[in-house]
Amino acid sequence: MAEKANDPDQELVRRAQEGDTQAFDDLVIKYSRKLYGLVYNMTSNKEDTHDLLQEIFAKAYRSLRHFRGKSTFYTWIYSIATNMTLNFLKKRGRRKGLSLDDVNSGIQNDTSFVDQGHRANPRRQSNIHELQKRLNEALQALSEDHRAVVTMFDIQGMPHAEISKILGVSEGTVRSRLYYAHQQLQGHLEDFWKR
Amino acid sequence: MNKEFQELQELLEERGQGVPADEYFEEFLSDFHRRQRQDLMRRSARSLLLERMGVWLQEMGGAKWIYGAGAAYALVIVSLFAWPRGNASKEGIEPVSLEVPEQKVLHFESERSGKKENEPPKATEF
Repeated sequence: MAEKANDPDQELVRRAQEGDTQAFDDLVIKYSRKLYGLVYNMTSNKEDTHDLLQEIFAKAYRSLRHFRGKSTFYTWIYSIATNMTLNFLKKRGRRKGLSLDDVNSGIQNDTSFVDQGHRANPRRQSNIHELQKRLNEALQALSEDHRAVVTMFDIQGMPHAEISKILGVSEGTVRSRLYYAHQQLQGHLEDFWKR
Repeated sequence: MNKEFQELQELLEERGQGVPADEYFEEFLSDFHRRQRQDLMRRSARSLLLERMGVWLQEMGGAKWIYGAGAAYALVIVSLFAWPRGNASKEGIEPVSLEVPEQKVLHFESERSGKKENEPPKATEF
């Protein structure tokens, strides 16, 4: 299979499947940052992100020997992460709706998430904070499925084809979800832009 | 592409640039090892087996329905053969008695105590 040959993680995966725990650690180190971004932008809660990410890697570790390389490891672990996060969000939504305890005050207040480039200009920084706060609210108002595609496409820069493989939907569905989500987000930010 | 849409995309891109510090990910890996050890100790063999079966079924894709249907069919066949048949009359049901039950005799108090004829008699069961 062509994709199997192109998987840059093939060697690490093979070693991890043979029981080399250091190889799996290398995979955790390689993907924890990207997956953190995915999960945090979908949950907006640091504690939930940490716990979910731990569960995602634990599940990947237990399931690794069944990984046949039909997709790249990257797509495979992203599918696990996305499915587990969507399930978590659905359960959280059923449990008590979205409360302030669930959602952190926002990435805009988290110094590690603020773009370093804006720190030199306080006025610009203030505007960015306000906009990011609004954006955070707007993202939370999206459905989980729409938030997932926005996170993967706009925030993480993944191509449509990759997102469609991860979510198990057609590229057309990915594009239509993105279009709808962008409309929703623009609608939420419209009054701020008109000021 | 309008200005607002461009700004929206820039804002979203900015969110992707920030991640926690390196120390967080070092601690994350240590926490992962700690949880793995705890998990191994806590999980029973049964739950591990169930999860592995679940993963196996997930990996099978469309074939799992064929295997599932086959397993259900086999279960029905085994149940049919194992079900007890034809010996209910021998063990389970007692034979019905054909004897006539003893009749109860009613005597009237008036006949014994010599009461008047127009008084309604009281029936006493012996």
